[in-house]
Amino acid sequence: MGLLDYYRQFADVDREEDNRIRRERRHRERALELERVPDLDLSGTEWPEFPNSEVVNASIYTARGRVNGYPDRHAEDVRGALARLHDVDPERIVVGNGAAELLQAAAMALLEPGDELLTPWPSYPLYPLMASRAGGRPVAVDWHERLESGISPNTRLAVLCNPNDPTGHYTPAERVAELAAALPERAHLMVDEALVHFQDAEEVDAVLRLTDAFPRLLVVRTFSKIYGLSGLRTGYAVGSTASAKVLDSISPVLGVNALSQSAVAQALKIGSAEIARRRDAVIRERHRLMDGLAELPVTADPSQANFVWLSVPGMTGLALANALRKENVVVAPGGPLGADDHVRATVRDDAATDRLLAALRVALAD
Amino acid sequence: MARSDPTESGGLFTGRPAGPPRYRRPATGTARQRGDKVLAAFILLLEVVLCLSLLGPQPLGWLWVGSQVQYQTGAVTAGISVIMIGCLASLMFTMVVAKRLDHWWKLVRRAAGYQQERGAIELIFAACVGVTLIVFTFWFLIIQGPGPSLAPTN
Repeated sequence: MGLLDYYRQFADVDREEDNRIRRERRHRERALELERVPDLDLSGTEWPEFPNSEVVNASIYTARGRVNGYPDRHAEDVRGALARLHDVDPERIVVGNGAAELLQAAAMALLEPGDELLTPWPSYPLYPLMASRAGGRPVAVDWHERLESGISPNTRLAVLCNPNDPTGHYTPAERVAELAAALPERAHLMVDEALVHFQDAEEVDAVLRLTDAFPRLLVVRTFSKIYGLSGLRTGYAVGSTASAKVLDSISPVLGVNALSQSAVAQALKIGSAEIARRRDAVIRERHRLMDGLAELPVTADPSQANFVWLSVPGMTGLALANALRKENVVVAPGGPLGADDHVRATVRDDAATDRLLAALRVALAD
Repeated sequence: MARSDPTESGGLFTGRPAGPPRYRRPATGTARQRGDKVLAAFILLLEVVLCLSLLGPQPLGWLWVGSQVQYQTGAVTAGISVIMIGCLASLMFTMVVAKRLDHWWKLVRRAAGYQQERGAIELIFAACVGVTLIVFTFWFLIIQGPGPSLAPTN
């Protein structure tokens, strides 16, 4: 290299040359992206799509407004909309920071040391935890058995996840009514209906209607699942007029934040058609997935949720999850959910169903 | 999965981004860089000399050439024309040379390890003009200007 050439190498990179290098690099990156098969995450139960932009805008509009002031601690707008949706008195509804917080608050309010919280198992792992936090004792009943078999004089609270996470089992309103009637005088029944929109066994509000007849029945719902607003952590509980004291004790002391209230109010305002579309899509795809699974050597319990609960004879859930992971499909191993021999796979769209079935075929062939 | 990142352009905007010019970085801490620092200082000195020559020596030189032309031809117009054209031509030529030197100064500075994004010719030229104006004003007003005529005469 000559003397001048040595210095010329430090000249500005020519704009065209610079652009050409960038284009080539971008093309290489795109080629790599096309070669890479992205992971399909079917381990969560939240809604996979972004929320409706109008819902997000409602929250942003509030954020740009008077967030220096406290929100409506009674969430009158949201409760009014929910009251119209469920045809109940607004006084029978409380809005909280997610269904889980309402459930935990109920456990704290109702359980005393020595009291028992009754729940089917496997079920939502929060239930035993919230009993322990409240100083009570969790009592798990195998989900195949009747929950009444676990009732004792110490039973103070029964929690039923309906449809049940992770099994997908749905307990119809008639059975819920039997359970509510069988509970001791001082015991409450909480039905966690976070996934209720995905069931097609009966009317969506069938269990909620029971609150008219059973004063110690509370139904808890969330905006985290079919409404696709998990990040806002908003849920609500519906009870009878006679349960006003319990409802008051589980409501957040200073209410739910203004951004969540705005988003949820807008979601309720515009959401019925969208919710129906999502519900139909999941139900349709769940049937298709179950049909596909029937042709494979797997055991899949009938599901009324937005997931299926699978097991393969002679294979642990973790091994099955790892085998599917190799095919870039992520499912939730059953161990942390209460059953080592199962996995939970979320129902999404037709492409996801096809990939899950294809991955299962490969995993089971190995 | 839909994209919500507003900075994700899908590769549409691959043009040069705003910011400093991009150039290759030399290896640092070499003996050559010490020599390049001296060379860069020398080139900078040349640029200063060239710019200063524009504002004094060159016009004066062309004035002398013009006077010779006038003397030889007996035509004032010819002398003035030579001065005007000569000054303009040497100005253009000097600026071209200075600009080229400035380009090489920038490269040598980069080779010496400095983060040199631009040349220095504009700054040098402005500084030379400023210095020349001050010197000229002092000469005109104090040394050769009205000062002596206002002073007491014998």
